[in-house]
Amino acid sequence: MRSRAALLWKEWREVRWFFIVGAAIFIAWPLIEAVSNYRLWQNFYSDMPSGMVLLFGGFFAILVSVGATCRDLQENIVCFWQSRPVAIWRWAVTKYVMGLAVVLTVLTVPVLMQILMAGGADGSYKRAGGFASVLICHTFTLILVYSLSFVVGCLIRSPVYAVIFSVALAMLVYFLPVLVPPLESFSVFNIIMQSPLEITHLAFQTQGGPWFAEKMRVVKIPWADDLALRYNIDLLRYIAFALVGSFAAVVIAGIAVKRNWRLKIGQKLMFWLLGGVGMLLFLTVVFQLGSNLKCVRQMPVTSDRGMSARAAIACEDSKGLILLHDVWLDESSTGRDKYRLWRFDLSSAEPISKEIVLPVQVPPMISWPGNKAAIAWSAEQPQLLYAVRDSQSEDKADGKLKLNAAELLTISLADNEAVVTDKIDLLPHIEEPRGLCEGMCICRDRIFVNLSGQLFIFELETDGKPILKSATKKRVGICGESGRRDASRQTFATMSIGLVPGEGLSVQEQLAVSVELTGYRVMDIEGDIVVETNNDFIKVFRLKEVRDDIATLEMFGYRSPTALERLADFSPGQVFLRDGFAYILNKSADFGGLTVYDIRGPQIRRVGHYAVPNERLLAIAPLPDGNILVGGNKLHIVAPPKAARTYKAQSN
Amino acid sequence: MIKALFWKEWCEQRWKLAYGCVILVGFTLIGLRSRLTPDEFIVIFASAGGSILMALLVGMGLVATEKSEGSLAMLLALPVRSWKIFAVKMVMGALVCAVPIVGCMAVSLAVAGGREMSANRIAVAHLGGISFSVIMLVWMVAFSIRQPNEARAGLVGIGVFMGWVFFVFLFVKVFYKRLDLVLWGLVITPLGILQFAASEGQMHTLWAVIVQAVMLIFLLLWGGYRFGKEGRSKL
Repeated sequence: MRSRAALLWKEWREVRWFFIVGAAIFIAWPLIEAVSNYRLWQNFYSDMPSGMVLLFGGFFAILVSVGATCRDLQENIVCFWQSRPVAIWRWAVTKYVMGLAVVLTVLTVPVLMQILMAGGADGSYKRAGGFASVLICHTFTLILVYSLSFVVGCLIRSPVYAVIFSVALAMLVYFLPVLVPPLESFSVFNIIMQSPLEITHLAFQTQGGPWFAEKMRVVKIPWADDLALRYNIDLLRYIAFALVGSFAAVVIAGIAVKRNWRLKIGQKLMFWLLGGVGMLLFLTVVFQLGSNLKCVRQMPVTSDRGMSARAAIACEDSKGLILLHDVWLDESSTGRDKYRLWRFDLSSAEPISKEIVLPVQVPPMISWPGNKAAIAWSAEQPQLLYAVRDSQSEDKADGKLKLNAAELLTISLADNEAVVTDKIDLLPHIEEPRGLCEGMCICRDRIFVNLSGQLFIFELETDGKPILKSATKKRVGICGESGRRDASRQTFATMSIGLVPGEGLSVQEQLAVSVELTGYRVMDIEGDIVVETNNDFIKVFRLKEVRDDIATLEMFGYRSPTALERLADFSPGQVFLRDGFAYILNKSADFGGLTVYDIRGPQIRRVGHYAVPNERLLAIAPLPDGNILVGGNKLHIVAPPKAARTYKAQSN
Repeated sequence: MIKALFWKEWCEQRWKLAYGCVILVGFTLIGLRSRLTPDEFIVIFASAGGSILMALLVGMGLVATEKSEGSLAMLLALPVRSWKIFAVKMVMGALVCAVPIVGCMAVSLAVAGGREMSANRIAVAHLGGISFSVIMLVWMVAFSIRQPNEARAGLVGIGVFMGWVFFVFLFVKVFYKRLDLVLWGLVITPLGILQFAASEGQMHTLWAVIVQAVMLIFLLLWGGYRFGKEGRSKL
């Protein structure tokens, strides 16, 4: 037998138990589950492999590499190897290659199996695409972790300590890029979430392809484009990083073995190192996502809730209303909308009133554009609530959706009972009844409603009764956006906002009303500063000029969510500005909460967070004393962050 | 002499106690104060995760270290019965496993008692964690008592734990239509203690305690018998 084959045979004999145990855990276990699922639902499918490989794959790679290195590098055996007529690098490389082959076989076969099972399970390969992303991205992480552990094994030579040290390193490889924003391009979770395969596929499409290519940072490789190779640049960078890191690790391992380098570390140091790395990562998470704002007061509103809840708070001074919208399932599992209303007075001993029962009407009573309810309430007429009710149905002529009801309701809240006292039918005033209500607000005894591409203005009489003053076809809200990207990925943009007519209103008030009427965007305004946010960014604009009822705003601040924030589902629902700070309510079910950002400079900084696990915070409103009112199942009064308090004191 | 043995074990194990207290109590305190996740998650993660971590950490160094360092022979040469040395090691090991989880319980009760979980539930979850940690320690030591070094003892511990998980997995898959049988499957393994402590199952908890207590006595007797005897694992 030639020496190469002999070395390979020897290494195989040493790592075969890892292969057998690994195959039993990562391949046989999911197969058992798939068989069980087949018995239950005639569906030969297992959800386990990709999750198992993501969770435990790195640990398996560590065990194999440490097992492969530490045994042969013991004092008595290494002397034997040094005396053999085999170059030390050949011996080390054979060991590395055989171990890597075992790791990759054990950890890629189950994901491949899952891709095949997913394709067969529902007849489409859409679900399989996600697993393919795991396979492509995570495999390089496994190679990197294996290589790093290989070096650690060669340097430490004690299995327990090498495993502990390698686990600490692997934790850094997996989680540090998620937690430290400048390193996010090197996060495997970040890359997997970008679904590089799907992005590449979309980039090839004729329609929308270029848009996807630009947005998802897909690059053309000139020599490979004919072969349909086009990759997300982040994935390419990540693969290069993993391969270069692995190569460097192998070189160091070779030198360490040749020169007999050793790292002597005690047991205590090892465990403290592992614990220290764990605590460091946990503290970084806590620093980004944990709650640090003080809750001044909590008041329960209701304990029973339906599904997909939404809420709106209308508040002036310390008085206001909280409106909850739930969907309840009836006996036939059909969703039924339910609106519930409470009045609150935070200065009184019993701050929350009894529930005000709203009349049940089908179709749903209150329009809810985006995350804001189309309601208007003023402390001057606290017994009255104004709401827009609208609904759509399919037009049989062209199959498109058409507005079939649109009314402005005046609801009296006297005696803790909601009674509709007035209705103004808006349908006859609409030229093209195609779109639902986009926003509603009250300003200086006038109600503004943006509905179906028309602006309705109502004047309020002394008794609070609204009178329709005008209904004009006018585009209010965002009417134009432009932008470009520079090499640093920063987006520079301007935004144009169509303003409401300016009779008796200052430019700032016009802009504020116009922003309020843009219900499907999460925006707010303070003075001449406008903030817009969504799942991908927070943008801050400053008013540049107003010409012909069009306000032009220039962006001066930009922030995209960090990898950890994206992992925790950053999905802003509402925002308000105060004293140069943006208070953004994240509606995510698991990691939702109120987050405060300092938007005074181009670098938007996170300065505070308030979260209540097991409770979804759904609406926010500013309070006159500087605190913030957050609503959900309870009303929470939250103190602003220290930076905001200090800034306000300095400005005063 | 027993006092001296306790002192020796204390000197060897105290850093593990400090380590467990700092890591687990620190995690619990930061997790509950930051309100990053529901309190229940932090409490269960600290008690269940902490119990596994402490059992592995302590179990690896209780007997195997003495063997690898060659001090076991000297220890056995002392004028004390070997089962007494074993008992001292187990008592100290159990204490080192339990104290950090007791610390977590105290912090949880002080910071989050009655907030999202009742004080009673927090206490029960941690008591489950303490029991599980001690049981896992006994299983691990009993099975790894003849292992020549910490690495092998650690692997035996991981193997024992994975064996329980696999047993429960198989039980669930085989008897998926019989929830009562699945619960009895949990009773057989120490994982049941953790599960019932987290979910407050009443009758099964009692049975789990009885079954595990019987197994614990058997394992302690077996371990005490094999401690210091000639022979080595063939692994």
